Amino acid sequence: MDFLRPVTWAEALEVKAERPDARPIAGGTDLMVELNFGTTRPTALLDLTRIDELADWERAGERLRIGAGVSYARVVGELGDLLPGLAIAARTVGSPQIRNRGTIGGNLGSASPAGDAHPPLLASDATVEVESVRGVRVLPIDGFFRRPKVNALAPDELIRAVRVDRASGPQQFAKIGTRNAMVIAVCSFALALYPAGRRVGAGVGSAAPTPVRARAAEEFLSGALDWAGGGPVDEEVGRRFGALVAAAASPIDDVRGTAGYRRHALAVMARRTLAWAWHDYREAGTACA
Amino acid sequence: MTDVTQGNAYVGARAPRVEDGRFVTGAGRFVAGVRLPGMLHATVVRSPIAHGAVTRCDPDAALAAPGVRAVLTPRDAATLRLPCISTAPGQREASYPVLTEEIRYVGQPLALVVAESAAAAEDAADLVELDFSERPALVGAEAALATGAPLLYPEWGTNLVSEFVVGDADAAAAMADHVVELTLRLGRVAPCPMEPRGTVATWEPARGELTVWTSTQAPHLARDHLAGALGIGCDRVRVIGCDVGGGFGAKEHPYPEEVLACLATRRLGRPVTWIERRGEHFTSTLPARDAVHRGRLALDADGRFIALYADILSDLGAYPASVGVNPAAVSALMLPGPYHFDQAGAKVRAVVTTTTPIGSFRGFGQPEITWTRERLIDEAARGLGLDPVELRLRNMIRPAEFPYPSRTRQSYDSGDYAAALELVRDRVAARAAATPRDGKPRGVGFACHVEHTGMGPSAEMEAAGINAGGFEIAVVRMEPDASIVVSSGVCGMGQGIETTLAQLAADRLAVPMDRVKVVFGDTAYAPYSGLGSIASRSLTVGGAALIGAADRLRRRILAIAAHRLEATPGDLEITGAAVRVKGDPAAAITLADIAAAAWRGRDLPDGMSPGLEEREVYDPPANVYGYAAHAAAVAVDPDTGKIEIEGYWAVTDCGVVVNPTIVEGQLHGGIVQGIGMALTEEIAYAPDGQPLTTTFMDYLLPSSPESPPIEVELIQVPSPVTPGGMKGVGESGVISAPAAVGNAVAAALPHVAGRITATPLTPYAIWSVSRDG
Repeated sequence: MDFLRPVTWAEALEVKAERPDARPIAGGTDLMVELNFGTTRPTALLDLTRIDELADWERAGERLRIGAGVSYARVVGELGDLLPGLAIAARTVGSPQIRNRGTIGGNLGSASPAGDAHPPLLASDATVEVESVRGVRVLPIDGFFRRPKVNALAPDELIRAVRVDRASGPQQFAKIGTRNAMVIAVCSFALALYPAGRRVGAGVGSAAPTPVRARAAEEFLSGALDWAGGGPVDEEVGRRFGALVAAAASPIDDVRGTAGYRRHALAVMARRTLAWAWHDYREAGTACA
Repeated sequence: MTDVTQGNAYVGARAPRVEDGRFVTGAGRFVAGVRLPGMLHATVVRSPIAHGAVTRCDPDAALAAPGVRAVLTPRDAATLRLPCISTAPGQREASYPVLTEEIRYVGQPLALVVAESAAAAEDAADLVELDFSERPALVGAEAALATGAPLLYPEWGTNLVSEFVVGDADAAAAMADHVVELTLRLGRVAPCPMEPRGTVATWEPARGELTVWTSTQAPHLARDHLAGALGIGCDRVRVIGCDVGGGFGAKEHPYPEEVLACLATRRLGRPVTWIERRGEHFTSTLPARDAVHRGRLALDADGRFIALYADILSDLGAYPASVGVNPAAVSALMLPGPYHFDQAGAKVRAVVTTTTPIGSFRGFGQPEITWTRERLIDEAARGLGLDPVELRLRNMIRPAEFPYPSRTRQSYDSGDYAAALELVRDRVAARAAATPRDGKPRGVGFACHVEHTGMGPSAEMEAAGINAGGFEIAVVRMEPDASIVVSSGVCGMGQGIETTLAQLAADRLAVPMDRVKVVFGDTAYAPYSGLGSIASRSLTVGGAALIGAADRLRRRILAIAAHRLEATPGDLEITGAAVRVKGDPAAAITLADIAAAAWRGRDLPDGMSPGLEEREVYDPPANVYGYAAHAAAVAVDPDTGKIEIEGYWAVTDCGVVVNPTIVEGQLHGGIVQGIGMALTEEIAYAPDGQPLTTTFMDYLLPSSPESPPIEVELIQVPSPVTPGGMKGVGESGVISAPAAVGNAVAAALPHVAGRITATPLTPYAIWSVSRDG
């Protein structure tokens, strides 16, 4: 197994063009597990940890560009105000050690249906900036996940960054596991409110072959909330929203729970995150008034 | 009787653990740290199928790989077997093969690859070419008894290994005003010590000697069985038990991998090491529990217990291994717990399935039967509209009744069972926190147990089919400079026995603890122990032996001093590193002076032999019985089924407490292990016999968020059996914890309480019973 360690982004792209078989590695929190268990044996590893620009994030107005090498720990520490949904999700990842090593780009690269960053990125309309020697592509996150552990990258491309607008309204994230921490989610859910556009974003994890957006649930809820008056959410609206979120999933039975439980739990989390987010929205409205 | 010449500074004191200095500074000597010149590394090729046979095993490609020095296959080990320590009525095999072509579980060893590095061995393991013929898998104890079930041993004509009755068979049909029946399951779990298993073996042809470093709870037992398997004399095998990073029963006997490492070093003449990988632990180290109990509790109109019966079905896995059916037998023997019953009995059946064989794990059959008995009692209380604590108190054995003969042949020695339960009830009632107003159902559950400890009288073990002696030997020596060396057959696995034995010796000899060194673990030096540190016996049996030896040494020292001071021994005391005449400070002789002279063979009373060394063999006259009352408070998320444990209380009597900090630590660890069993841990298999939980991502140990604040209180009723008054406590915490948690969940969800019967109580499981209830 070759170990390739470029020190600049340009060099990394050249190496990837020459060696499309090389598996990128950042924090290694997914890949090293696969290597240790012998489930994968790449011919080469492409270490991206020496490329400084990947490990930074920048802000231009409302637009954020988060380098692929930014760790969960830094998302928690630095982006809590700007992207609360992603920060809440990052806080639930693994242990402190895993949060120090694991990166947003790595999560997208692994494209696991259970990736914790995916639901909030789906809910917040993120795009993924990918690059090769051929040029840059900016892909909507919605189409980025193709199959379990397969994303939309071409063989010579690397993930450069995630682009996402700072939160314009409340964001929430919830996940359910058999244990409280350091556990693969049984299922997870992220919600983002966009008060200016009077719409919502909803991302579902661990409950389908890929992370998915709950489009029908988004459309229903956008039209059902009392944006202007900030009135309470009708119980029936919460129930319907939960049901639509659950319907967006196509979960499986496994050792952590059945498909039926996953759909049920998604509906519960959808209702709960909605209650929390709407509470925040009304509080913010009161504060402004 | 307390001898006034002994000290009392240490027993009962929170003495800091003497072993912790080396552990926390990274200076522990664990087996994976043993490096010998020329050492080779071994890895085991394991079966990927559950049931069938190897039809072809071709090691040539592996042998040709870089650095590979040998590949051992079943043909190389055709005659090697390990013995079952316990055998049950009807059990047809009293040993099991180390390597065989007959496959009965995923993970079964099929070959050993030995190479210059661990990496080379692992790479080459993939090159061993294996073909199989497959047979249908068999998962689940009930399936094993079904008509047409695949037979693991067709020559037996059945998957049933053993069937026997303990106590009153009639209890199954006892007539009464109220009868509660439940089918209860405690799932299969893995011991998961922090340090995996491992071994380093080296054969020295010129000496004809085999030396084995291994992570073990029982060095002599490992030596005897390795020597027996390999056909080498016990005198030619030395087992060095290292510092052990947790055992929990998993390391109480040698495994096939250790025999194979020994075989490899004999073949190759170079040291060979095998260290278990984490993932291997889930299929290669014996798991435990996995029992289905059909329980029946009969009560009269006043809530008096008439009869308790359990139909116990134990899933042994692929074969009866080292302890075989014995955990299920202990379930039956400890069925009645701390209560009166007119009748109590159990039927035990044990079956083979195509899963990893089960073995010992902290609690050894007792968490299973406590889960059954205590769940039945709570459901009886609910049915009768009685307070579950009140119902228990009404039926408890009283202090005046000891020694109390149970209906299942146990003779409980001492205690105040009701006092423990009343105290734990008071502690729960006194909790400060107000209940949060979050709409979650909450409940408090109680559970009580009596624990079989201090195993055991050798004659009784013979009667129980356990092929090992239950005695312990201690040797105490005062060196020429008056420092003390204690040699014991029990050994350390993190439980603190090095400290508590030093405390006992220091008090008995009236010297400071730092003058006492405790050594154990090396069969070349340690006195023989047939069982080692298992079964909550190290301090009870090993400590009793030590007390005997230390008392004898003290009397010898006093006799020498009396001779030299021309006093009578009764007028002497040991204090300040000297023997003094009471009331006459000038008349004294230092211990160093006495010791130096004794080792020079001078200044001794007539007829006394030189030296200062005493030895005691202690074969316990009876088992001793610890007990506890536990309580758990839980909140259940009604929508997701997630359980939070909000408080936990335990009142425990382990007789005389030598070191409260160590006892509390043992209880905390055991309780958290029990919480893991109750909530998150399970070794699961797919119907095709493939294990589903082979990493810590899928096998979920409790972590800090699952560990509630635990309040432990110790009451001390000294055992009348044990010199020193101790009862065992190593397993106590784990025994009642699953039942206390289960009862709390049932209390929180009374409408489905009768369906809280199986562990683990995962969010999914709770949701399932709530939805269908």
